[in-house]
Amino acid sequence: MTPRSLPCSRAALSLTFAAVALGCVGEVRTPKGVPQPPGVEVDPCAGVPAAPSTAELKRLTVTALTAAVTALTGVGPDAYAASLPALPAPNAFDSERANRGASLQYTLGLFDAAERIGRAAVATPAAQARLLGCTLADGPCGLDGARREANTRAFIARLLAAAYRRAPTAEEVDELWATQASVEADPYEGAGRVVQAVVQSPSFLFVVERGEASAERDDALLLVPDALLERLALALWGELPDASLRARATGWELGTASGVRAAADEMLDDPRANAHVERMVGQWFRLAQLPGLSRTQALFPTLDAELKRSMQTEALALFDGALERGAAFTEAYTARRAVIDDRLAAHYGLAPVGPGFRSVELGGHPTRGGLFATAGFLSVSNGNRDHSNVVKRGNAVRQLVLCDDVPPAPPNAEAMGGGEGDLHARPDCAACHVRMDPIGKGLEGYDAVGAEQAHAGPTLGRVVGRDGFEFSAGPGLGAEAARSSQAHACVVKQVWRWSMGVRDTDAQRCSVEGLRATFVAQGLSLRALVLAFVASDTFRFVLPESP
Amino acid sequence: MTLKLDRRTLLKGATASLALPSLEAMFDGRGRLYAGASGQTVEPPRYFAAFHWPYGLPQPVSGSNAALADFWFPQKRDLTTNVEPLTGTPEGLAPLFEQGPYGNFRQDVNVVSGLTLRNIGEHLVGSHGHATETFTGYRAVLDPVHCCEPMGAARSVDNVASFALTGRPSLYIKLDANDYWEWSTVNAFSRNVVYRRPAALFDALFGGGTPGADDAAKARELARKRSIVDQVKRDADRLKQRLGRADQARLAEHLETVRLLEQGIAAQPMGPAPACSVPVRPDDATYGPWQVGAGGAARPADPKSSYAGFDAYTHLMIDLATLAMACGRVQSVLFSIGGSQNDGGRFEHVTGPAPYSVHNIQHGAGTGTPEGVGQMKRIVQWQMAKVAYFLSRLKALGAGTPGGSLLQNSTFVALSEFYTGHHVNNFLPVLVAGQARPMVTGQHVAFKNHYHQAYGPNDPYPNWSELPTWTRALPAVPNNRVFGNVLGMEQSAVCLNDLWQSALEATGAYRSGEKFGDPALWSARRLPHLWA
Repeated sequence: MTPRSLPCSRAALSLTFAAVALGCVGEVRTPKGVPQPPGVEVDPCAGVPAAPSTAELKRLTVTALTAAVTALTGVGPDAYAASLPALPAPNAFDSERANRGASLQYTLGLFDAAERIGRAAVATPAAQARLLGCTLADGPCGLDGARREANTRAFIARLLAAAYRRAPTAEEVDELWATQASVEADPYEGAGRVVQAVVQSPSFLFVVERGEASAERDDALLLVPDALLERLALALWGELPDASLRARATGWELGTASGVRAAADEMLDDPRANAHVERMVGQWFRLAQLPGLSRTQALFPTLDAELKRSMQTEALALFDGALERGAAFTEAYTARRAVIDDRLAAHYGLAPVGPGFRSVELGGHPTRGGLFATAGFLSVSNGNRDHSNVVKRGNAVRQLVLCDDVPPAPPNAEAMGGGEGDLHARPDCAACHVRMDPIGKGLEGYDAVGAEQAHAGPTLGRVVGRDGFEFSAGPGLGAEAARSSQAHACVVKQVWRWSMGVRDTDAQRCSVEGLRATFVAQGLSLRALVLAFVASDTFRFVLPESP
Repeated sequence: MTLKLDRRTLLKGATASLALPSLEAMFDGRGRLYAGASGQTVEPPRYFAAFHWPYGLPQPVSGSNAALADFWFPQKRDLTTNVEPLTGTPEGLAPLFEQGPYGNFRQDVNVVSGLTLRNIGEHLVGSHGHATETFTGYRAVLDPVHCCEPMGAARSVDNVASFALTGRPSLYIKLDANDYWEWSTVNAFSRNVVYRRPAALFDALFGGGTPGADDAAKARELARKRSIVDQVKRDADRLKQRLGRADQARLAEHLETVRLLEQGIAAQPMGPAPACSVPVRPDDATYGPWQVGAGGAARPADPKSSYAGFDAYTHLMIDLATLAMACGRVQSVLFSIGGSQNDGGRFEHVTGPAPYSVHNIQHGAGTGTPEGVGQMKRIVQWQMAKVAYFLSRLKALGAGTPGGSLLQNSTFVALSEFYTGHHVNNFLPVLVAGQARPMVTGQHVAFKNHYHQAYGPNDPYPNWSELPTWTRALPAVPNNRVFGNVLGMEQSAVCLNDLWQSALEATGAYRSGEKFGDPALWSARRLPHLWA
């Protein structure tokens, strides 16, 4: 009898629950391969160099594609919105591997989007002039008559150089010229067809990360300057380098850690960096999912699209200025002010604030202040449930704030149900529930959409583990999370995942720990963390492909 | 919500056109030439259609010993045979077995009982791949980091049929918004394109206009599309030369989807099709509002299918799906009412304001409550009415032509991934129809099922997976496979993959011994008592 043929025996259940239980252990462990003498307190990461990353072909995110297409063609920000499918893993960052897989729906959506972009790029004389880099005073941009081939070829070469981030070959230019000339009588429609082909070509869609040998390390390759600049721009702005950045970069020393740090410091002053941080926290804390928040309308009659937008605005506003020098990232956890409008004020039982959004002082309000007391976070962390749910919220805090990888519930978890006593008494359930439910209990003073609710029982929350703490309500959780070394390490991991599009591995544990130490030493400054990260060997070096 | 598009008007043209006897006598039900130039009869094409409803059947009220099978499965009277006529009308099948607005389909279908997918196992880490597994016959692949994102591990049955029949993906329609759990897969790494918006579906199916009209213009447009895809492929070939092995593999997956796109373009229908009349383009706003999802995908703003227009929306999508077959656009369809194992799906257009989502009725706070069970019964009855409507369209389209109706040339399977939503992927509710190969219908085809699925000693609802006593007492058929021995009891049943095997063979998708589903699971064999 094979295990597959006996899927639900007690033995199989026990083994699997044991595996589930193991998945809930979130302690900091000694890195593999680093000896630790018994009874001796040593820093297991002392002397361990930062681990290089893995170079991999990465497909651009929608944000990066949109920016690149706008720069190439002038076609606006909605170029992809209506065509590309939803993220397959909405709880992961859009840059992560889980959201970069190939799919027919994506390719079809891309084809449709490219068709629209191609048409829009030549839809009007002004658009043609923008695309072809001419002025309307010159006439119809010089693609008419005898000038058609030469000028079209020049346009194709310019477009390819910008889109492929390298000099095009003569063969590539020839092919595109032949392609459009063979099917389009109208030269401008032909130019649109060229755009259509280019914006769905793999050379445009994918970023190749190439390294070369250097004197710094013999076990890894240093990213070549172009690749490093692309990695920087994608990590800090979510976009590929534009012409202006490439021009500035000629004066940067991207071959050294200090040079990369200096370049990044300059780039973080660009407004695109702030916008990218807003996208990061929106995805990290699932605030981007607020528009799709689902509740029974009869139970929450005031929850409409406008209120969801207000919730999102309030929560994201906590991170305004997160990149400023000297600002502590965890101020978003502990803020005593809130940016709200009248809808949210009513939701919270606060006095009206007047038209639009206002920043209001919360003073010593016991239940409001900081991210974990916002209706936005409390709603999305509650899943699609109509009642406050200690498991969902506890799970969200463990995953998002503490970076514990909580395994999925077993299939019959809800049906097995039982009260808290059952869940915590049974070893197969307790491994996860003792780490989730006590956290959720601390948020039981809020209903499923983050409004205050009467709650009969105690609302003292507890985070268990080596770095455990107790808290009361959202502000209490924020204050403790701001002090928690595990939460600090989680900020490092989330920035890592967001910037690199991959998760940190066991082999990179010391790299995370080193960055955490820097983050703490620099007053929990996000800017300092980002600068340390991009200057690290993890960011600058890649492992050679194994033979 | 007002339905702006008059569906009857929409269909009137198509149906009337299909019914015209004179010129159409030369054409089959999908508008293709039926008699060859030499007078030789051309075999009409075959179709595959699968209809999925989520969450299975209602469970009993807590404390009740009512046999939940009685709600939907016909009572088995003669336990010495696996096949007997469909007599009586279970409550859940009334929309199909009693004369309703779309007809009475008692003599058009077979109810199949006893099938299992229990042998595929249970997902003890990650638990939401059942519907995906139902259509792939393989255990779903789960992302170990991000909870609950099952992915089909193989090509799904609708695509097996579609690629065999047309060389391109099937038409996959799923109504309820559930952005990332999809059942139709074109291969082990790519989901199929899913259609939810009526206008997008219309454009994909009929965007080229009426078949036969302005073929020269369409040929030019196809040439443009092909030239674009060719250019993409050439660029990929060049890029590949600059990549290491791992990156080449990543690029190859993307290129495979480009190849599928190319096949779809190549298969754009051309030529005359007088039997097919393209309907009016529907207006999404009629069924909206729509919102843009996390990754940009449009979907109904209310993912709980509670808006009043959901019934009309469902009919419109069925109309478009069946017309797509009649007009030769597709030969395989997977039509799903909606998401499974999420928190959505209230169907309030059926029940009125409802306290529970279907998930919570089957698997949470509403479980076992009289209100929840009553709500679920009404929902299943509504779903069966939609099965009836789908069948009515298959019967009507092409009827009266020499090639026969779509139903006469189809294999049709309606099923859920569960017996009940308590993860009971055993004793699945299944209906089959269609005469792609001859099949005696109007029968209950009952296979012995001797598997008790409970979740061990702590299962608080063991009676929800309790099978009716008659299924255990039936004669074993050759497909009855023993797959376990628990507590001294032999566990045996017939695998759902055998049903798909039968349907695929009947559709003509399998001609040379191919097998559906995971061979390590059970090797699929054609079922007795269904298609010849």
